[in-house]
Order: sequence, then C-alpha cells, then structure tokens
Amino acid sequence: MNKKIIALLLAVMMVFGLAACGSKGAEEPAGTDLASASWDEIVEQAKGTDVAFYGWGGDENRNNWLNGTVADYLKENYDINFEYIGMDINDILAKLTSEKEAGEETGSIDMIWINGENFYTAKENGLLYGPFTSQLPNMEAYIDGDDPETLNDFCKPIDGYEAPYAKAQMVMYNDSAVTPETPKNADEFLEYAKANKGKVTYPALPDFTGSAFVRNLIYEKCGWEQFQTMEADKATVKEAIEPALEYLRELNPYLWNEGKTFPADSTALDQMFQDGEVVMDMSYGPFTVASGIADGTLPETCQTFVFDNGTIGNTNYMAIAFDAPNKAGAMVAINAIISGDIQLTQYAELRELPVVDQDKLSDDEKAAFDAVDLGKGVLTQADLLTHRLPEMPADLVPVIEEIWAEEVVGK
Amino acid sequence: MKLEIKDLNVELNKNRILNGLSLAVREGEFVSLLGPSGCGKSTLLKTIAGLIPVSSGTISLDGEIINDVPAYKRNTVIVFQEMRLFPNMTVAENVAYPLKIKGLDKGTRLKRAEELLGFVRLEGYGDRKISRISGGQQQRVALARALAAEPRIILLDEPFSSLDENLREDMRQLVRDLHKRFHMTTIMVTHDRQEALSMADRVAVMFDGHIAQIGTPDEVMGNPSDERVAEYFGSNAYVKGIVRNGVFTASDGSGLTCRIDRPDGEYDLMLNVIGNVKE
Amino acid sequence: MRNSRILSFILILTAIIIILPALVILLWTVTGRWPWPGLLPESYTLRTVEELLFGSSGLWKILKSSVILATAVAVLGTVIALMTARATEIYRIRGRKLISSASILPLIVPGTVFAMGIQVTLIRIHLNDTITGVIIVHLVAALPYCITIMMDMTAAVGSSLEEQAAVLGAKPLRGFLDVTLPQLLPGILSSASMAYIISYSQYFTTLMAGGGKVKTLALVMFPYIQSGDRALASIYAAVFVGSALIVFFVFEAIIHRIVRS
Repeated sequence: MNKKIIALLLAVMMVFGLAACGSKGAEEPAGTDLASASWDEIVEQAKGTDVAFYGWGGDENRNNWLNGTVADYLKENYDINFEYIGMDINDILAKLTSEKEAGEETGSIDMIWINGENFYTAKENGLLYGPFTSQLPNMEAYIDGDDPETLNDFCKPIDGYEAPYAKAQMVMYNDSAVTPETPKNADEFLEYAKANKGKVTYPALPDFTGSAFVRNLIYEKCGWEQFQTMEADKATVKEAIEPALEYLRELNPYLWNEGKTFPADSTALDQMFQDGEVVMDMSYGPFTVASGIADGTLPETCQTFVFDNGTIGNTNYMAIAFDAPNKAGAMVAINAIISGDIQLTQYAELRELPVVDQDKLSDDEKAAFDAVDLGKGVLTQADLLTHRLPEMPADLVPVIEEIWAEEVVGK
Repeated sequence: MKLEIKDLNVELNKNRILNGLSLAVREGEFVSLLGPSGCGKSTLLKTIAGLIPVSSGTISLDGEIINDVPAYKRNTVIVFQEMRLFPNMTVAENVAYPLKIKGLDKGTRLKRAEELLGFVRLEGYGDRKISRISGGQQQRVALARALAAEPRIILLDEPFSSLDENLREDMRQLVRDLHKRFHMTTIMVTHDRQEALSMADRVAVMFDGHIAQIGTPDEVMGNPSDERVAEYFGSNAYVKGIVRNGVFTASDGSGLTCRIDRPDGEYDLMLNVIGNVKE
Repeated sequence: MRNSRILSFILILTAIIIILPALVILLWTVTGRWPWPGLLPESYTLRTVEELLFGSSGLWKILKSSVILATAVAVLGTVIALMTARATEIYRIRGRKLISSASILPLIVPGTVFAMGIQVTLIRIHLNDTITGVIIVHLVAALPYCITIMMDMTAAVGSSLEEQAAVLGAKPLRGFLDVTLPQLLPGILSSASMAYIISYSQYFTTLMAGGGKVKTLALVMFPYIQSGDRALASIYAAVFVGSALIVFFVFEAIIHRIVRS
C-alpha cells in the first residue's frame, strides 16, 4: 500500500521535473556591450558594485588575505565591495550547471578560482564568460604574454577565458632533524624509501598532490617533452609510461603499508607527517613549510626540496561565470589582482609564487619582491622557477590516474 | 433542564452505534443508564455533549434542538471514568478552569473553586498537584470541576468504576447529596445494577444502541419489558409448560404449578431469583 | 542493586565515550604540534582563537545568521509538523497514510540529488541564493523527523483532555492551548531541537540553495575540516557544538517557562 503511494509520488515528481525542463529559452548573448566597452567605461560601470569571488575556502591565510588586503585595495581604488566565498570547485561547477539548466541569467557567482581539468570542462560546457583578458590593461603591463602558462592551462588553450592568479609548484619536504638527506632524483628517492622503510608514501591518486607527484616521477623516468602533445589514448600513454610504472612497483614494498594502500588525500598525508608517522611530505604550495613553521604545525627543522631535473609547476587562474551578475566588477577585480601591488602582497602574506613577469617590473617593484622574507625552510623564487616543469595536458591526467590504480596499487 | 432525544442514529467509522434511540429526561431528574458494555452508553453521553456528531434524529434541551451546537456552547458536562484532570494545573486550577473560560477574574475563580472543593470535602487541597492526590480525591475534583461549569445537564460516565468498594459507596453518597443540593439534571452511565437501582429516579436499560426500557427501579425490576431486560437484572430460570384454565403446569414432570392469567397455550415460565441482583 | 551497578557502569562508559573526544577537540583548538605518540601536544598556540575572533571569517555574523536560520527552521518545522500530526492523528483527515508516507520521502532521496534538484526549482521560483530558499530546503530535510516525533507524541497525548475542555466550555483552540499543548511540550522540544541541529549541520543543501550568499557555521567549518587544519576545524567544531547546546538550553528554558505560566 505504502510502497504504491511512494512509487506514484515519485512518478508524479518525475513528470513535473520533465515538464519543467527546457521551459526557458536560451540565455542572452552575455555582455555584448561589455566586450566592446573601453577600460574606463568598465571601471566606471564597476564603481560601487559588489563582486563575489568563489573558490576553495580551506586556507585561512588566503581567506584572510582576500577578504582583507584585496578587499580593502578594491574598495579604496575602485569603490568595489569584494567578498570571497569559500566553495569547493565541484560545488561551484554543480551550481553553475544547475543555473545553466534552469536558464538563469543572473546568478550569484562573479569570479571563480579555477584551473586544469575543471577549467577545461567549464569552458567546454559554456559555464564561463569570455574572452575577456585582452581587455585588462594589467595583462599587458605585468603578465608575460608568451609564457606557455599564460596561453595554456594544462596544455589546453585559455583563449582569454581566465587570467593567471598564482603559481604553484610541486615541492617535497622533510624534517632535517629526522632525515637529513633530501633525494635529488627518482633513484635517490627509491634509496630514501629503502632507508626509511614503511615511513614514506604519497597520497592516493586522484588526489591533486598525489597525482602531481606521480606525474613528476613519470617525468623523471620518461622525460617530459613527449607528453605535451600526447593524445589521451590509454594504450599510448601506458606504453609511454611503462618505465615509470615499473619504477613505482619497485618502490611499493618500501612504502607505508607496503604500497598496498595509500593515504586517501594530501590532507591525510600532511597529518601523518605532522604526527611523525611518515618522514616526508609534499605540497603543491612551494612555501608550505614556511607557513607551517610560522603556524607552529611544523617543526623549525623542516626543509623544502625539489628534484634536480625540476618539479611540475602550474598556474591557477581566475575566470568569470557565464551568468555573473557583475562582469565589469569581476574584470576590474581580476585586473587588480594581477597587478604588481597585489601580487606582491600575495607573495609576502601568503608566500605564493607571483604570476607577474619579473622583466616587466620596475626597479622599485623588483626590490620590493626581493625584500620579502619568505620564512624558514623554503627555496627561493629563483630556485623554484629554474626547476620548473610544465604540466601535462589536462586529459592525460585522468588516464594516468586510471593506469596507476590498475598497475601500481598493491602490485 | 429537560432533555429530549428522538430517533437518534449515530455512526462511527461506518458502524451504527446508536440505533433509533429515544429518551426523555425530566428537569432535575437523575437517570441511570444501564446496559452491557458495547451497547452505546458512552457514545450516547458523548453525542449529547456534542463530541460525536449526530447522523440523524434530534437532541433537544428545553425544546431547543442542539444537534448543530458545538460542544463548547452546549454546557453539557461529562465527568469521564478516567477523570481527565488537567495534569499541568493544580487542583484549584482544574476546578476553576470553567470559570477561567468564562472570563472571571482570578480572585473570584479561586474563591469559587475553594467553595466547590468544600462541597466535595476537599478543603485545603487547592494547591496540590493532580499527581499528588488519590484516585478518590481525583474523582471528587472532577466532580467539583463539572459543577463549576454550572452545566444544564451533567453526564457521569461510570464515575466510580476505577475506585475501590468503600470509596465507591462514599462517592455515591456524595453524588446523591450534590444532586439533592443543586438539583441538576443528571445522567449516569453504569454497568453496576445495584448502583443504578439505588441511586436513580429512573433507570434506562440499553441494548444494541437503543433504550429497551425506562422506568423507576421498581418498574424495571418488577415488570421487565422483555426477556433481555429481565435477564439483565437477575439469574433467571425458565420452565416449559402449558396454561390451561388460568393454571400453569410444568411439562418437565417437576409438578410445578401456579395460577396465571393468560389464555390457554404453551408457555415459558420465567423465574426471577431475587436477592442476588448484583453481578 | 546489581542492575543499578550495571546501569551506572553503562552511564559512566557513555559519558567517557562522549566526553573524552569532546575534551580532545578542546585540546586540539590550542594545539600547535601534536606528533604521535605523545600523550599531550608538543606545542600550544592561540592561533585558532585569534583567527576565530579577529580573522576575516566574521564569526559573530555567521553565528548569528546560523542561529537565526536554524531557529526559524526549528519553529516552522515544529509548527508544520504539529499541524500535520493534528490533522492526521486527531482530525483523522482523508489521505492520512499518504501524508505520513510522503513526509518521509526526503529521507529516501539521496541528499545530493535532492540538493541539485531543489536548486533548479528554487531558481525557477526565484528563491535561489536567498535565506527563504535555504529555510525551505532545510525544512524539507528536517520535516520527516519533526513529523514523526509530533505524530507519535500527538497520538500518545490524544484528544481526551481537549474533549474534557470542550465540554467545560473551551473553544477548540483555547482547549488545545490550555490543556493539550502543555502535554505536547516535551515532543515539541525534541522536534525543535532535532530540526535545529539538522538545519545547523546542513552543508551541501545550504551551499546549493544559498549559493554561498547565505553563510552558516557549517559552511565555513567544512573547508577547514576538509583541508586538514585540525586545530581550526576543532575550534569551529567546539563553537558549533557549544552554540547548539546554548540554544537548546534556551529552548528548554522557554518551554519550562511556558509550562509554569
């Protein structure tokens, strides 16, 4: 009896759902006048408006910097009320997808913190507004237009749909009081794992950091160049990374829990490192150690290191939502964030690699960047940038993750 | 107040509970409603009070048909078997509740409540919690509360059945005294024949949703209208036999004979064993 | 005698199971580093307290909006549940079974699916990214519990006291308020508390319906738990539990006051 009723109700709801689908027409060709507006007009239009920037909210320092330093700067210079709202990128994309589906024309998200695969899917699905970066004066004034990371995001063309926000780079770190040595390449890393049997591991793929670490080891074993243009075909990729897969399997017996399982994510690995359960940790934030020491979550004897051949670096970006209520405001805010001033505060307060082109900075600006005290246990910006390798194409990443799960875990 | 019920039918969940019931109660009269359980006694009280809607027929008080008058306007108070005292109120607050509804001020209410508690011999219990008094005391509070409403008719639904025997007698006396003092039209449901016969002006016997007989205790006892009523009042025996020339002779060979003023024919003679009318 | 011993043992065990982790959370709020296998943290810091009080998170604003939102859900949820329970249990309206089974439907549909679907609906009725929208969504999540509690409670209390009040001259609403409501208060308290805690801890539905514009403690807390900042996650957890407890005490105090008056 009751089951029947429930089935009936579900049916009714489904019918409603279907009927509601496609009730609204296509959205207007967004911001046609904005695309042809001059920069002065855009700034004028943005005056006195609210801008909502959505992105990952798990870093208190970044939240404070955005809602403090950046917000104050935008209020003062452009009369913009800027607010950062913490939301996971998957949730942001889910929200935008629903809005697109429902035919919403004015959503609530102005700017999005995004990169890689997420950017690729968002752009493909029309969730982003653009192209807009060519209208930002600071793209010309501060950003290196020829830098592959300005043109491509995980080897996928940006086409003016996002502007660089900060640079990240894979780094590793350990506690010099526990293990003084730092492996300089994959082979040394294997030796290091042997010497510290059961106390080394990396986060299980598809964790962002774990995945980058494995790609880094693939670069070590197979070189990086061939992947830049490789097609995302499983057989091709598998053949190309075979030496690396062999290496990873050889590594397994010396890892934590003998490589049968891996920590669920980088958070878990961080906690294991903080708890002394493992001797080495890794991060996509090159200055993580300095923040950790300053916070007191890491001991002062921690040190950062990279492989001699370099580690993968990527850039994360800012995009504008297709249904952003305030596209002009978002453009002004993005333009401000890529300025030397704000990039300097990001470097100083958050210890993030800046996206500005050092050659485009004035002497004063350069001096200001050089004067930043990065804190303890980290590598210099120059050290990092000279040991920086490009990312793989976004569509190779899930393929590698799949192969890893089949060929490496527990083998 | 005069109560008159005509051809009353009541259905609950599609079951007919009251079936063409008619009953007239005179002003100031004390009527006991007697009958086996499930015959519809409680339903009748609730219908009179307006808690159960009438399917057909009429109920009138002093000639005014009250079928559609909501319960709260009827002023026909039921004292339920399980007393239904309000546990969130004290004894005095319970008694004063009908006065509170009428909008009397607190002082007047409490004074009147204390007075009514005096009538039921509960002076000084006003501040007690309901859970802190005995069952018999609770029953008296329920009575006092009903009196406070100054009802046009008071309906007692097996008021003493939850009390033990000595308390019951006490309460019967109290109810009789109160009836004498206030002269209130009263209907009391009971399944205790002794109680019904000893307390009431008239006794109404109910079977299957209608009144089988109504009359004074003597009438009902001495001249039952049919077998069921008679049987309800005593341990009866039947003797088969024939009447010839005004004399009944048992045909079972027991030799029992008696004079009887009936035409000749076959009869069942009913013997009523008086002296143990109680169940 | 022996029973009471076992009982007190169980009580103590329960207390330990609940209190010990709570104490650990409190300790974590001021922990700098706590490497294994130390029994106590290696270093202490007031970083999280500073962040909470002086950071950009705007604790008081968020706390205020969370409490107002959850209280609104608690009150509305309980009132709706009470009315539903009265309709089905006392007035025995037609289709009671349909109503009671429909009321638990939200428990059957997975939360994520529900959140995504309701977001599209809210956009269509222009309630997305509004507090009203979030209240509606939270209500849907809370009502199955509220209705179940209130139905059981209403069935247990019944209408006998109201009948008594009616024959004594009380109009239906008056009778309900004077005699039935006080009996229902324990149920009302559990229903309100339940709805409160459900609303208070909603993450995904708040995110989808509120679009980040409606901020709650759960919304701010969740990323810190996810990012593994244990100290910050702990202090938010402490604020979360503490504020919920305070609200429950206030609920209870209000209810007690109603009972007494």
